[in-house]
Amino acid sequence: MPKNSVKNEILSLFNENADITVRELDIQKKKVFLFFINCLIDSELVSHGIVEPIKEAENCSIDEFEKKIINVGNTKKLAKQDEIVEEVFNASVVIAVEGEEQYLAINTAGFSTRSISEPPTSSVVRGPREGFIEDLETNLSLLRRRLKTPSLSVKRLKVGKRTSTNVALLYLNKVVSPKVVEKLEKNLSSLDIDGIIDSYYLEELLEQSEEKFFKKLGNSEKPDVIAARILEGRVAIVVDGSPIVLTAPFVLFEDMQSPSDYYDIPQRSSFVRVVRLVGLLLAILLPGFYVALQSFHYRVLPINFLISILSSIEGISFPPILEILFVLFLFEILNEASVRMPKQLGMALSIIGALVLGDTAVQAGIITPPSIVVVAISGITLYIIPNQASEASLLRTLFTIVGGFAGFYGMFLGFLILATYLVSVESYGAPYLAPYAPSVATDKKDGFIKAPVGKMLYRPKSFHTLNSVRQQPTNDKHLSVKKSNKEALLESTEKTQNDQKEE
Amino acid sequence: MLLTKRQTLFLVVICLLASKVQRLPSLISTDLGRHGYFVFLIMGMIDFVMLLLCLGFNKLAGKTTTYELTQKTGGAFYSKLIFLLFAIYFLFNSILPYEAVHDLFGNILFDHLSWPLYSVVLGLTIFFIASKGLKNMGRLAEVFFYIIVLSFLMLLILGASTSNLRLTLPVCDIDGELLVQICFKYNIWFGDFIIIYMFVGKIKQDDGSLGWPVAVAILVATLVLTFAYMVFYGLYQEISGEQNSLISAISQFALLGLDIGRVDWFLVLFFQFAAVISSSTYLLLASKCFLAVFLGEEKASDKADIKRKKLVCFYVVLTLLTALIYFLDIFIFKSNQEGVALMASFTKWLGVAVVFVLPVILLITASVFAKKRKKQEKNLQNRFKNLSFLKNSKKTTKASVLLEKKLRKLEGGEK
Repeated sequence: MPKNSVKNEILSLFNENADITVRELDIQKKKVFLFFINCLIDSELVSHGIVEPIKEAENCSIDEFEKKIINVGNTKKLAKQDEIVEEVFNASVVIAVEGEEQYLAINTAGFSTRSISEPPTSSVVRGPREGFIEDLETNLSLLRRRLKTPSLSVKRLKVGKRTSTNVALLYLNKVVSPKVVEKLEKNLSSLDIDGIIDSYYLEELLEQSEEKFFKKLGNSEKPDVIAARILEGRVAIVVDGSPIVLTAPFVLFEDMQSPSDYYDIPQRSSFVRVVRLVGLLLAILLPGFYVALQSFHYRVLPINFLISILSSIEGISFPPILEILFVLFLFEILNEASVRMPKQLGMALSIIGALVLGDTAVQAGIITPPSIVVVAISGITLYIIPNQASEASLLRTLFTIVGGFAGFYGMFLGFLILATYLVSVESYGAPYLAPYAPSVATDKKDGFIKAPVGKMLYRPKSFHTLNSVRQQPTNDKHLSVKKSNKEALLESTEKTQNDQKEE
Repeated sequence: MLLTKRQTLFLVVICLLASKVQRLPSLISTDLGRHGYFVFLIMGMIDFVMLLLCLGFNKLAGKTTTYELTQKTGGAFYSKLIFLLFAIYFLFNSILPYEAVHDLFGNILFDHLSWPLYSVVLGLTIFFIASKGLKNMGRLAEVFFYIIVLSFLMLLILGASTSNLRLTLPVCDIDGELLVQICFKYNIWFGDFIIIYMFVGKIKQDDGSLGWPVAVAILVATLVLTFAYMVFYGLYQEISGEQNSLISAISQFALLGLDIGRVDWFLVLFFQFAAVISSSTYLLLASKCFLAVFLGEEKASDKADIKRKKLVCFYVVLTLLTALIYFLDIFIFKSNQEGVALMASFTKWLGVAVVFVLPVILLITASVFAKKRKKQEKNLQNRFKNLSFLKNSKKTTKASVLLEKKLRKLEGGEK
């Protein structure tokens, strides 16, 4: 083999990339090459854990290096040169020895990541404040710390031809429905895409139907939420580079639940969940309803209220539908601007948006005070369920148009069509509107009326889990479990025990 | 399996309520005046008796569908004839709630509404709902059931608070002959339990019973509907025939003193979910029945190309029936009063045939089928006496497995 041929061969794989560093060492009259990307590795670890021990080595071979010399834990032998590229890009140092046809990859990741902090979208008054970050390994450690069981399976995949993004599937073995895992694995491995930059890419790509309006996968930034979902029999999908972890299957009601519900008394949680539902309905229907009332059904309003509305809309030259659409449009502009504007300018935007624009538009007779109130209520309630804000915002505009053209008739039929559509949607075998359509009595214990944790004996049946028992009743009298439930519980426990014995 | 027992019950109750409290009370009051509630009482009781026959049929059929059962017992022509009757019956029943929605929106809630144009939207909606199939129809019933029932009960309570129920008395001067005639005339509005025949063999054998909850629901609904008529007549007396719909008129005076506007109209609106769901259910069932008449019933064992062919045909039939309902609504029900009267006179014999005669015939058919099946089972067991030995022995032969499968199918009533 000509001198430096290994080096050149490997370097050619990287298309002569400038950020590839090659360190050459002469050990026992043999050349040893270290390939790495400087900005990805921990230089101290490489220096003390790899370079120094290699220099002092008596024998120069890959086997010797792996077994006796290297002081770093995470090593992997590579048989093909093609694997080298992937390992180097994954922050490994790859060692090649002249004359040997195997290589050694040592993970020495040392790039900086964001520290663990409370996610801004789901802060809680009481409960864990940790949130996922953009590093896969850190995210996995956050979940592992909560689920200390050997039945927690982690499957690693790579997605994206150019990004080779690491994706991990986490689930409880012998609990989760194998069909869901199979489908997810199949869907993930069949993806033929350049790159996955964020988990949202997968959220869209893993949806099983062509229809993309309502999301079919759940997501959260909080490890406690994901751990709880894994315990319920879901599969978590952790994507490297994204702080959002996805879960499947997904039911719409998941978005009505908040982490804080589980750290509060059940009565309060139940109340808040009903408030969220009302809020969501208000966000979607209120502007359309106002337009329908003003355009067609003013007789529904009490006479005094009608008079006050009539006096406020006097002199307005636009029909109600145009007026509300204009205010909604204005609201969307302010919303977009406030998200992207530097924080220092936020206050100025509020003053301009709320006071100057709003007040002046009313005085100029472009819009009326009731329409501002309606859109403001709708705008606030839109973010009562942040995960559904995008869908709700579009539906709100749609219902406003329908209400303007066909009044209650259009809204009535529109709502029915929406409900029909939602009942027909399924996410990885789970009905979208479960546990209410179809009705699943045991799953309703974590529904609008939330039962105490001690009464949630089963995992959600909508997910078709292999082991449906979540906990054994601790005190029969206290829990007042129905006879039929008890029998089902015993049967299920026996079945699980038998399964385990067989295995 | 497509529906749970709970979904079946909800669908029956929704269909039962949907069209009886809209135009019908006004029509009955024109003919019978204050004794009109007897029509609801008598027809409700007849429905209850016929429902028992239907439940008997369901029990005897087991996992066999109505089409399969009638085909196996009486042949293909027999089953197609029965399904043709069902198809026409369901088609007319789909028009009744459709017309009720037309009446509410076209004549009551809107001052001016170009109904031929807006009816297209309603037609498309019932088409969309029906196209989603029976499973989703059941789920939809679960979503709206409590809203519908609560709205109806609240409207009834509001109406009862201002009604004078004594105006429905005395009862002794009732004209029996006229009562029978009116019951006969408007029988198409009743007999909603017939839809259960279409669910036979498709209901999940989950916890709970189907029989007694449906029977109790029909009894309770009969009493509530009778009471609703009394409240309605107590409010409007001789002019109740002038009212378009009971549901929109019953609470009219209850909120006057409160000066809160006609907020009761929201309840009316919520109740109309029942009308659209009911219309869609009947449309779906009519389409399935026509499809069964022309191509036979859909089966899980059908090959992919046959399944595709049947699906295409289903959409074609569904489109044609939706268009038919639309045109009937536009042309026949141009004047609601005349349209409904015309329909009542046209369908009274059909109603008698489907609601009163068919359940008896079908029960006889089911008992013949059950006897036949029992006989077959016995014959099979006699032919293979060593089956129990084979089943108990650890060595299973191919013959014993096949035999066991065949027996299980026979026990389950599958083909």
